[in-house]
Amino acid sequence: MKSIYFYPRLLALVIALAACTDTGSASKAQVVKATPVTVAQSSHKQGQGKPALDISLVQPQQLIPEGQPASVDLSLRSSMPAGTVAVTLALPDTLSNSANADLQYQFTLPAGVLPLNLTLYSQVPGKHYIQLHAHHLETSEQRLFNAIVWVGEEPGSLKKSTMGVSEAPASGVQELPARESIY
Amino acid sequence: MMKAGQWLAAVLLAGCISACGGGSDNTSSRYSSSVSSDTSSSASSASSVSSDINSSSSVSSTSSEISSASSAVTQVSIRGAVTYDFVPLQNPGGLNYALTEARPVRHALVELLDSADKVLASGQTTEKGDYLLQAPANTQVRVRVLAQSRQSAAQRWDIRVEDNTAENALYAMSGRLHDSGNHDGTRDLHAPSGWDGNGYGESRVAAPFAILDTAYMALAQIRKVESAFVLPTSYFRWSPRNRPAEGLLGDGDIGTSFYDSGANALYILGQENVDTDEYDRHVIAHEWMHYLEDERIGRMDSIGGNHGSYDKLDLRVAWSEGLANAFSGIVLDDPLYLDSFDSGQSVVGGGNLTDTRGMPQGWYSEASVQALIYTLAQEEGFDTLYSVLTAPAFRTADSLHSIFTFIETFTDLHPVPAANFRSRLLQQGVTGSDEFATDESNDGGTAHALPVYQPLEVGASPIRICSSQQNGSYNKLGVTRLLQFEVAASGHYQVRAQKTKEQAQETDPDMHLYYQGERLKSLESSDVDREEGRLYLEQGRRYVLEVYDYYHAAGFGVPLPTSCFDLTLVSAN
Repeated sequence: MKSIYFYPRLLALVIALAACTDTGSASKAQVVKATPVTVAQSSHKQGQGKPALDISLVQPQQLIPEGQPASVDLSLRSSMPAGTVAVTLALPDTLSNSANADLQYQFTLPAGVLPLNLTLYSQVPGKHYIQLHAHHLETSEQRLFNAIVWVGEEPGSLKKSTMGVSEAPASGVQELPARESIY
Repeated sequence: MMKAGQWLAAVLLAGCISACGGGSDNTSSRYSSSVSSDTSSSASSASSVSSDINSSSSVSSTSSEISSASSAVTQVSIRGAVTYDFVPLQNPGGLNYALTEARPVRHALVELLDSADKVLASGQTTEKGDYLLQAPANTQVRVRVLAQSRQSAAQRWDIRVEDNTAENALYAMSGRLHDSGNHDGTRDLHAPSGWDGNGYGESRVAAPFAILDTAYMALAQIRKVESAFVLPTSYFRWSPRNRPAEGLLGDGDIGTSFYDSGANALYILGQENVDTDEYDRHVIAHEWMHYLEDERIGRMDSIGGNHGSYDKLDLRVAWSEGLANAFSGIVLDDPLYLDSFDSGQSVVGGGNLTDTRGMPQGWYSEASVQALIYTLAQEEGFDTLYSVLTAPAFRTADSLHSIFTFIETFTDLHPVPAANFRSRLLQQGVTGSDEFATDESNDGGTAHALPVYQPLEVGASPIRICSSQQNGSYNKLGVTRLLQFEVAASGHYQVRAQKTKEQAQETDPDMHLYYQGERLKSLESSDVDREEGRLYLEQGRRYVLEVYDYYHAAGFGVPLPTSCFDLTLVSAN
């Protein structure tokens, strides 16, 4: 199972495309629609955040099946009244973009929702982050943020360790090693 | 000369040793063991004593007295300096790791632990980052520095830096176990940044202490102008896993660096090559100002949400964010608000707090507010600014907190500087001079933005108010309309908002009632095109009513046309 992590993205893409052209396995080839994931405990939402470009994801988290192409809605919401926003996406190695787009987009404001859809494929179950870099060309304001794509498993079914979260120390103190000089 | 608190600490420590059987008759090992078990059980009280005296030198006095009374070497002093890697932020270039310097960890809690992790002694670093602790002789001990600053004297505070991805465990840097020997020793501890030349290849030990130090810098500014205060614990929560993704805070998906009012918690980004904020000191100070606004000023009227210098904002948001931006520049004595991000933390956003060229200017602009407040502090002093922010009249103002509330309180408290400040306000396009901005003439090019507060009368003809998305949704100028009113007699009243007949599109009006910034009632039904409700209103109070179209606030899809409503308030007794 671990070796899957080392499959080249290209190989995964070939597998996906091959599946798409295999009439004998039409159900596998079908591009399904990603399922929005509702987060029980939201993060900043309408909290007092630092200044940043006013742009955010309509669907911050989505679930796609493992080993099957899925349409993922990465549409953005912005209430900026004017200008042009350039958006660049960066996928992790564990996600393949079967549309093979260059992942660069431009939107003219105002637009409300900036439509952005990708067909993604992954054989690596778990949590994956897509990085989005938005740049307002007139004001030079920028923002980097992440979309979360869950592959194969419901978020609640994953153990903490698979999400890269630390186990809490029993003492309640997270000790990090100091560089110490004793004399 | 020993102060009362220091004397008390000396007596307590001497009493403890006596009770434990300490003295010239006892062997070193027996004494050592007794100290260990007893001090362990009283770790919390030792800590509080330490906090009260707030000086490790007092412990030194205690030690010398005890030593003179004892012929055997049963205790030794362990002293040292505590530092962290400070990485400067430059524009352009971002974080400049080549210029990393060791800076003192100031006023942080320090503990001495034995091999069983029992706390044997505790204290606090000084302004220079030095500490001094007493240790049992010939014992394996280690030093641990907590990312926490606390004092329980007239100026009370408690600042902690925690790991939200490890159940909010308190960060600490730790030395290794080493024999304390039979003479005084020195143990210097340093928190490295973890930068290996290409990335954070090692543990980012310095990050929590960088955050703590910036928070302390902000706190130090308050200490200069207020001799006594009580601040509840502020919980900074940082992790290298804290990403700009919306999700669970415990997973590190915090969205952005932000202040969570309900929990006094300040979540700080830490994801390398995307967005880290531990060295973005203005961001740290900005968020701490939100905490201060909430806990010391006593009111947080802002509705939050995305915001920036180029936005035309709800007046509450413009005020709160502009104030926080200005505060960061004031406490850091640096008007360049910078925020690093991207690969290698090499890209910088932000700019000079006083430069509003090309940005919206007016009461709805955080850029204008930050420029005004920062300039005021430079010209009149931080103490003048702080006196207005903490004035009871400001906290209990009837209006929702905005630049106008500030202007009125400033004028009442400091009429001469306020008169001089008038020209600054006009430069930023702010003409209103009272808390309800009755003479404001700048509408920000936004239809229906004026008057800032529409007067409302009981039993009068319907007032037409409109909600628009001209400047965006939720917290942008034009979405919400404010009204202010009083009633002649206490009793029940019926308020109603009804969509005007001329409009075709569906609307969902909602309303909130406030008194002195406190939300008393929300009317948020999903009824189409109308909202109404029964209110109990008291004579002699000036209320604020907020009205908006939910569809405009939520910001679904494409921008919606303007929604207008006829509003009435009638007696319902």
